[in-house]
Amino acid sequence: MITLEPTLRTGLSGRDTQLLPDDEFRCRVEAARALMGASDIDALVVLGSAADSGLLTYFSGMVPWVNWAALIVPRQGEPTLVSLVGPREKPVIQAQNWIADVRTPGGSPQVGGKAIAEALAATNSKTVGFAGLEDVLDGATARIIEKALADSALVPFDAPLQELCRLKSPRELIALRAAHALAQQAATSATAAFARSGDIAQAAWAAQWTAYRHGAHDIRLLTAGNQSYLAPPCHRATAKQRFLSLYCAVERSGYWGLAALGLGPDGVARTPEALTAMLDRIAGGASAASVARAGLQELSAGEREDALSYGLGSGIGTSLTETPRISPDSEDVICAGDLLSLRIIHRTHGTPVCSSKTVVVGAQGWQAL
Amino acid sequence: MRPERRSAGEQRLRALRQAMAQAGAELVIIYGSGLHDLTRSNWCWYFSGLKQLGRDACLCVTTDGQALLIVTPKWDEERSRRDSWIAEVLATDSLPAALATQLAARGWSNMRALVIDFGRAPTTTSSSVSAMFPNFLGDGTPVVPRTYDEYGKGLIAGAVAIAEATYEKLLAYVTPGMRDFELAAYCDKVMSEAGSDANFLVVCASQHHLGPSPPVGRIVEQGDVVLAELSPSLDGQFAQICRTFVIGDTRPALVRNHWILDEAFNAALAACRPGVEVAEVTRAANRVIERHGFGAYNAPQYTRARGHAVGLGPMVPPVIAEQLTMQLEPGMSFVLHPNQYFPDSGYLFYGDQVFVESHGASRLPKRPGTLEVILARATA
Repeated sequence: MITLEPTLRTGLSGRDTQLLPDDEFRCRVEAARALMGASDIDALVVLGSAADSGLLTYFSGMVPWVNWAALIVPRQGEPTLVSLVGPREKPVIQAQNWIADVRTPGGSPQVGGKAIAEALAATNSKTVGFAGLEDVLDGATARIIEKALADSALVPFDAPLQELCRLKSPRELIALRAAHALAQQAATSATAAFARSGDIAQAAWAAQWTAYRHGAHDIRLLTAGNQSYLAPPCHRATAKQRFLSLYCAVERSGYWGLAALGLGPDGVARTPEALTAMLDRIAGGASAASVARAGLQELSAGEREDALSYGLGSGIGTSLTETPRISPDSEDVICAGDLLSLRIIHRTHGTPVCSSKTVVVGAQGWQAL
Repeated sequence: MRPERRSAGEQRLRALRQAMAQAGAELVIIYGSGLHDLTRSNWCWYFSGLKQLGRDACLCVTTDGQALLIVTPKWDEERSRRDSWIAEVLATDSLPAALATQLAARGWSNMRALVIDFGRAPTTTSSSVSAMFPNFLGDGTPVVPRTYDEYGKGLIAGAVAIAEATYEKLLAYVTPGMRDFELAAYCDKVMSEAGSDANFLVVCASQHHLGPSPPVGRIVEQGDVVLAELSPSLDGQFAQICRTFVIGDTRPALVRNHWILDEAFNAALAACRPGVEVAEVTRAANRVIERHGFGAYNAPQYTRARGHAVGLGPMVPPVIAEQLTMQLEPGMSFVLHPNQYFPDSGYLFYGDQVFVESHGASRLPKRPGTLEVILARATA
């Protein structure tokens, strides 16, 4: 789901070192090394930006505060983290991840490319797997990095790493449950504030305040009152509304959780049959397309158009949108162990109504997160 | 839409078309990345009046009076139409495909075209777009303004007023026992309620700061130094103030060092005149720091820059630093902040948004930053 990217995250920063200690990340790096070995890759570079950090967060624990960062993982030896900030920010960056070798060469892509090249040169790597080069960074920066690494053979390695992220560890499930619970708590606060005031702005602020006070790093909201579309909330007081629709995504310690609701004039949230139909199809081995089609069959033509436009859901983890993608044109296959966030958003009486469910996929079905 | 906003949009497009004609261009295409950054221009928002939601957007403007805004995702069409001053808005889930279709349908493909900010698009978008223009003239950055128009000046003044009011409220709100992220969330709330549409804010507390940092969950204590960099945005235009306050009794080194920053700021402000190089403004601040014996701390690990322009509009000058020989011009606006680390007090903030006029520069906040001391309050 597309949400408005904040200028700067203002919530609690840093990883939960009790829940996600260093050995958790070392295990992930070792799993990546096994994939590298199978593909004859000498080193891996995982890029992540403040706006799009899923894979970087998965391997380093860090969501970049500003700009972007690169994790360099050689086949053997310790990884290096290059963060595109100056030396003044080094203590901040060091506190946000488990990597001993943190380099903060400055904020320009040129110095970033040079620092990555230096880290790779020290490992004598010839074939380098890259993640995030095409989509995470802007094109101009990507070209600068490619130029800095002209002596290496660059191999896109996003897809294998995204597959690796799908199966969540027990600790990850705890982190995801905490993020999910916080999103639900924020949505509950919004509901209560809306019941008191009938004001979308009050509801949005209540959600935001609850999330931040309980340790959210980031919160994304889309709301609708009487209007016919979801939009980022305006925090100024609005005219009294009859409906509240809310999509609420919360990131805590690097993991995302979701809540969505649509309250009618009676204040009751409903789970549409389409969502139930999708859940009925969920099991390890099911095609993502068949799950999507099952839900769409329950909707009218107009509702189908809405639901497809807003999307039907995906995997969720250190990114709000991970593999598999639930869509009638998706070629993904759902696996046991996937964590899925399904949603149906369509207009009822002209107002968007949101509902969602986050589930852990089993061989025969699913369990609520 | 407020009439002054619509009028500002018309004026910005008129100025753009004049600059395009002078550059020999018939079409300019401006990319918007959806990342609204304090330290980068956002020309798509500047010329369209829209804070885009999705990752890709672009504004096409021709010299013969046409303008088309393409936004993503498709479901954001109604909001985009509501907020933009561009009459023709098209929403899509694929910018390259929609742009290609529109260029062909409107006969724009063979126009002499300039592009702006397509380097900020991900490779997947920029590579497909670059092939669309056989008469590609190059980068269109020279056709965008270097100084602020009247509308932009008004927004900067408004954003400064929000920042000042937020700071006053923060001083009244903070209490030992609160967490640092509560302070940040509170400032975010106050600025948003006052009408800010994007907030870049740093609020952190420590007995001794090495530099600015995001909230880490620290409980605010007596004796803490609180750094507050508040940068609200109005219609996309940021402005910034940097402030420092202390919880409980202050220490002599803090008072002295804050006073040094005040002196450095005023020296730099006095140097800000049209025709003066940015390097000279920077040196004016640095000389004060050096004279007080802290020259060794004018280094990248202890300070970043003495200021910078702020988005949405012209990022000129991009940074207040000794290596920049660019000359100041009337109509430029930037934050001047000699923020700096001192070994006996830690890192301190001190800075204000300033505006360059024909006779010199003025600081915009009504109340200059003083070292506020929050006397003991009951613990939260």
